[in-house]
Amino acid sequence: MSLRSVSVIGIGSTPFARLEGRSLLDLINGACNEAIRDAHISRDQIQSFYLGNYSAGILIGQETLAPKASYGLGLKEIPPTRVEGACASGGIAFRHAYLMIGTGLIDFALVAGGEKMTEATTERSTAALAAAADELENRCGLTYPGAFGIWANRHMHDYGTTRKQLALVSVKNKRNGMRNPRAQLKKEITIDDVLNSRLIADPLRLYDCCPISDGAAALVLCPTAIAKGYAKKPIEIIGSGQALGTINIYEADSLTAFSATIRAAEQAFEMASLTPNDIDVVELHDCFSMAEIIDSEDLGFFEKGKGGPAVEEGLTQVDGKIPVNPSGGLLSKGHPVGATGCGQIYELVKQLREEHENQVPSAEIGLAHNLGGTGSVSTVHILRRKW
Amino acid sequence: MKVIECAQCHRTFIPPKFTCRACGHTDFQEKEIPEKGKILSFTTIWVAPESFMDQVPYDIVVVELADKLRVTGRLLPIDKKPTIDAPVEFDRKDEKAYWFKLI
Repeated sequence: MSLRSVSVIGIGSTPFARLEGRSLLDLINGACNEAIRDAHISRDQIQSFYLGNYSAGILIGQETLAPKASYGLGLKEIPPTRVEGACASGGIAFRHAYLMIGTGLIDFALVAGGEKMTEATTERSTAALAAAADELENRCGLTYPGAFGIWANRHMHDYGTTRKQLALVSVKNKRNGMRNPRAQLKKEITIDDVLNSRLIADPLRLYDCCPISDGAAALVLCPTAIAKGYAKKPIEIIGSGQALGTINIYEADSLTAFSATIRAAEQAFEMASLTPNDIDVVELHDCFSMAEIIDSEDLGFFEKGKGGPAVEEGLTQVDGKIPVNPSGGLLSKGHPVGATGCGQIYELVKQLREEHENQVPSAEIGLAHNLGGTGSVSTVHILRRKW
Repeated sequence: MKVIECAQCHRTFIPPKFTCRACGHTDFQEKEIPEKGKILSFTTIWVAPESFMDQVPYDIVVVELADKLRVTGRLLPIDKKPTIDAPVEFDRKDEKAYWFKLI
């Protein structure tokens, strides 16, 4: 079957930060209202609501979020749907809104991703993080930095990736984030700052890891055919992919690549009839510095094993051959889990509207990559300027 | 070392398993495999969840056993850093994890 073309006509976002005193529903409400205003629609036009949230149940003791958020937004009796896929929850929510409009069932959808993490007790935070991971690995005492430490040690062994190259990812993204008012960690750091920061899980140090965060981001979608009636600068969704990976480390075929990313990217590039060479700007899932290097290879921007040298050669800087995470990525913005996937689309839309604070020159086609858990599920979206 | 195998295609797995990913069968039986393996990768945890804090620093290893069966497990504390391809031997399984030792 062929889908109708769908475009993003509105975007909204809270800052990603420790947002003390702001509840999850407050954050979602804020981001959504901004997106609705940006889209120049009335909330009565919204026909479906998708929400990406990872773990409100554990973190803040709340469920049934999509109905609660819809209700709080004053939406009519439309279908409210929450999706969960660990850190890919936001990307999955976006994809489902896209598909719902693409099939012709509805014309206007509101998508949001949100997470409230920083005011949870340590016990709840730990439980929430552990919930996405494999039980056997949890019982070993494995943490997320530990999982990525395992991938890092293998990647360094197989391809000669260096700690300096890992550190350069963090340096680049923190510098990019300095220009992003939505980013949590805005601090110029040096390679030495990274290499001397606290060891978390060998070889990863504090500055190799993204901070936890609160935040929400939202998008309004409609058919491209009517988008110009609402947005001066519609951004068309030309590729979408979603795939299952592996739910633990020991059953993965490779210890240096995420099959979920590779498969989701294949789907998205095929739908768009494009290759990695056609992409002008990328927002990918850099939960850890090592993740950015692996992701950049899995998405096809560099050969497997060449992601580290690519960073060192400056190829992924804002003015480089393939700008990666000009927003600052998760490393600088922070990672309110369910919000991240939608936040990436927000940043890409700003780039393709040529309105980003850290603008990539002449960006016409962008790619967003979202990865959940320890490679469990991934979404990839390709967007194109339609103005 | 006790693992399970698919009753139909005999592919080995670390329990629990509900459906064989190789052939779709849903019955499994116990199997003994040799205790020797090698380290595919590792990490050392320095910042741990609360119930593991008293063990810090501790090593976690991904071990490859017979028939390319892999498992994530713990390394018995030792004054040697784990390295990739280092040979290990299964020590025991407790309610927490599969434990291996460098040999």
